[in-house]
Amino acid sequence: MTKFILRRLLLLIPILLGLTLLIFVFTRLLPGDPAQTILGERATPENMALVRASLGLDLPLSEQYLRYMGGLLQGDLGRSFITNRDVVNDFLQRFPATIELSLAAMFFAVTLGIPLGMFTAKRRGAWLDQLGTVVSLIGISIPIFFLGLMLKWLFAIQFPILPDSGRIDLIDFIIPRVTNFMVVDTLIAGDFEAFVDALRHLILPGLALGTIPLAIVMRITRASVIDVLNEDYVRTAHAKGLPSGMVDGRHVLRNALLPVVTVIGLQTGLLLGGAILTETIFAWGGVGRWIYDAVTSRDYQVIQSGVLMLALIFVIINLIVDVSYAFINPRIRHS
Amino acid sequence: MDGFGPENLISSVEATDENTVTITLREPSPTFLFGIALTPFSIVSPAVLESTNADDPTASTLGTEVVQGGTGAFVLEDYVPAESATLSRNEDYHGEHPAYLDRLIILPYADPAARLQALQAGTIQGLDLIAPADRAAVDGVEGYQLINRESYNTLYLGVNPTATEGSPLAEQAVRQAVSHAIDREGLIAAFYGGGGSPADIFLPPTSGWFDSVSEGVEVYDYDPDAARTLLADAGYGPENPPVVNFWYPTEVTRPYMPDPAGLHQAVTTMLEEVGFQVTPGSAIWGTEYIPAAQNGEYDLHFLGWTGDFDDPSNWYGVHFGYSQGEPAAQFACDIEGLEAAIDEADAALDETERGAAWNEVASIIQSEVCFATLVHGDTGIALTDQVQNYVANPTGSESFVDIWLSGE
Repeated sequence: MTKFILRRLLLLIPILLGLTLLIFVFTRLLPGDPAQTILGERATPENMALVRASLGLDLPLSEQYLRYMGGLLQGDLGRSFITNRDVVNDFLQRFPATIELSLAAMFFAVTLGIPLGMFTAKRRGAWLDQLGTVVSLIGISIPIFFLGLMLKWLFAIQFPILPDSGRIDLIDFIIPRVTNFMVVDTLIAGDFEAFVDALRHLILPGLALGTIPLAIVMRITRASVIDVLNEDYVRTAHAKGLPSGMVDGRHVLRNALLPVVTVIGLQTGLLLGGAILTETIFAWGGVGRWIYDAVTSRDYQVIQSGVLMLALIFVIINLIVDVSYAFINPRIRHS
Repeated sequence: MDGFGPENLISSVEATDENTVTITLREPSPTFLFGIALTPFSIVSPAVLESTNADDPTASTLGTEVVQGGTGAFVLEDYVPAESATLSRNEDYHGEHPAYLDRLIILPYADPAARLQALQAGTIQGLDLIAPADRAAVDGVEGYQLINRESYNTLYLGVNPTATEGSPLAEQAVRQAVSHAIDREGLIAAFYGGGGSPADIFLPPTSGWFDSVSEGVEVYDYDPDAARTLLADAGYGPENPPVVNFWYPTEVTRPYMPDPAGLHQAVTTMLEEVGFQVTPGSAIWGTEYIPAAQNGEYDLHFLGWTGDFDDPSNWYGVHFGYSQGEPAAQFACDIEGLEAAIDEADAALDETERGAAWNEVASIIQSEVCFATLVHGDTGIALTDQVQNYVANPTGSESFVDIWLSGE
C-alpha cells in the first residue's frame, strides 16, 4: 500500500509539469488582451503598451513561461493582473468556501442518495422504484440556476425559514476569518449562534448543488445493489437466518459501495472545481466564480495558477478514492 | 493632468497649514477642479503610500488589503474579496456631523435576479442599478421604494465611414438616414423600463451645459419616411440596398446599455425597415469588442459613455479630440474645422464663451452624423421602506452620511 501511494505521488510531478504547459498555452491562445480589460474604454495604444510591459506580456512566450515556472518552484504563483492581489492568498481565501459548499452538497447527495438507491433497488420494478427513477431524472435534468432561484423564492421569500444568500448574517455576526471555513471560524470564535447560522446558510446552496450528485449517487447505488442482491453469498446470508438489516449493511451495501465510492470521489472532485452557477445565485465567494471571472477578463495569472491548484487537488482526491478501495474491499488490500 | 513628466499641469503642491493644500498650475485649466474631485485623484496619505510600497506597481499592496488612511464619513473595517466590504462610522469625520448609520456592508451580487431576491428576503436594504425588468417588482410595491437616478450617460450608435472600403456610410445622407431610422422612445419603453430619455445630443439634459451646447443643434427625430427618402436620394433602393455590418458586445451590461443583444435586434429591425441590409456581429466586451471598436473596425457599433464630471470636454473632447492631427479611429470623423473648434472650446475659460464654443463642436458633429446618439438611460436604486434620505446623483457619487434607517 505504501509503495502504491508513493508511486502515485511521484506520478504527480510529470502530470503537473504537463498541466502547467498545457494551461499556459491555452491562456495565451485565448483571443483578447488583459491590458485592454484593465484599461477598459479608456485604453490608448500607449497605455496598452505600458500595461503590457509592466505585466511582462511584452516578453517572448518562452521567457514568460520560464518566469512563471521559476516563481512556481519558489511557491510564488504570481499576482492577479486585475486586482494585483497575490493568487495564492486569493485561492486560500476562496477555496474553503468552495470546500464547505461541496461538502454540504455531497452530504445531501450521500445521506439521501445511498439510502434511496438501496430502497429502490430492493423494490425493483415496483411503482416506488419507477417513482425514484423519475425523481432522479428530474434531479439530473433541472438546471441548477433555475433550481437555486426557486429554492430561494420558496424558502427565503415566500416562507422565510432559511437565509437566501451569503455565508453568514453579517449584520448580526462579526466573525474573524481564521481558517476561512465559516463553520469552523464560528466555533473558533466560540459563537454557537453564529455556528448555527453558518450551517443554515449552507442548506439552500447545498441542496441546489447537491441535486445532480444525489441523483447520480442514487442511480449508481441502485444498479450496484441490484447486482449484489443476486449474489450467492447474499442468498446464503438470508438462508442462515441473519437479520435483513445486517445482510443489507454487512454484505450488500459494503460490496455495492465500490462503484459508488468512485462516483462520490469524482463528483466531489468536480464540485471542488467550483460551482459557478451556484456561487453566482447564492453570492458564495468560491473559486468557481473567481476562475470564470479570470477567464473572461484574461487574467492569465489567476487562470494558470488557479486551474493548476484545482487540478492538483483533483488528482489527490482520486488518490484518496483509490486508497479507500483497499479499506472497503479486503481483496484489494491483500493483493 | 498631462502625465507625470515636465508637461504635468501641476507645477507644485504645498500643505500650507493643517487644513489647507495649495496647488499651483502651470496654466489655467477650466476642468482641474472637476478632475481632483474624482476618486482616482484623491489626496492620499503619504504614510499609506509608503507602507503599501505604492511606487512599485508589481509589488505594491495598495488596494489589496485593509489600510486606514482616509478622512471620509466611514472607515473600512473589513474586506473579504468576493464576499463583503464592511465600513463603520468615522466618529472623527470633519463634516457637519458623523454618519447616522453605524455600519455599511457592501455585498457583490453578479446576478440581477439574485440581487433582487436578496432585497425581497431582507438580506440587503438596498441595491443599485436595478435591472429595468425588475423595476416593476419594487415600484409602487408596499415595503419598497424605487429612486430614479437621472442619467448622466448616453448610448450611441458609432458610425464609421471608413471601416469597410466603399462603405455606404461615406455619404452624409446615408448616415443621416441611420439616425432618422431609429425609434428612440421605443427603445426606452422596451429596454429601459421606461426610465430614460431620447438622446438629442451627446450631452445629457442633466448637464449644466446642456442648454448652451444644444442650442440650434440639428436633431434627428424618428422618421422612417425621411430615412427612405435620404437613401433614395443617395441612389439606394430595394434592388441596391446599402450594406453595413453592425456589432454589439457580449458578456456586459452597462447603465446605458442594459440589454445589448436585445437593443441590437431592435435597431437592426429598424434599419432594415427603411432599407438597410445589415450583417450582424458580436464580440466579447473587454477583450475583443472595445479594441475593435476603438480601432474603427466596425461600420456600426453600440457604445456609450457615463460622464466623469460636468464639462463638455469630458464628452466631446474625449471622443472626438484629435491626436497628432488625426481624428479618433473609432469614428474616423475627419471634418474640416472640427479639430480647431475642439481646441478652441477646450481652451475657453469664460463660461459663456465655453458654452458657445462647445455648441459649435456639437453642431458640426451632429450635422455630419459622426455617430447617432440614442438614449440617456436612467438607473434605479431599489430600497426597502426603512431607508430614509437617500439622495441620488447623476454621476453615481452619493453620500451615505445623511442616510438613516427607520423602524429600528
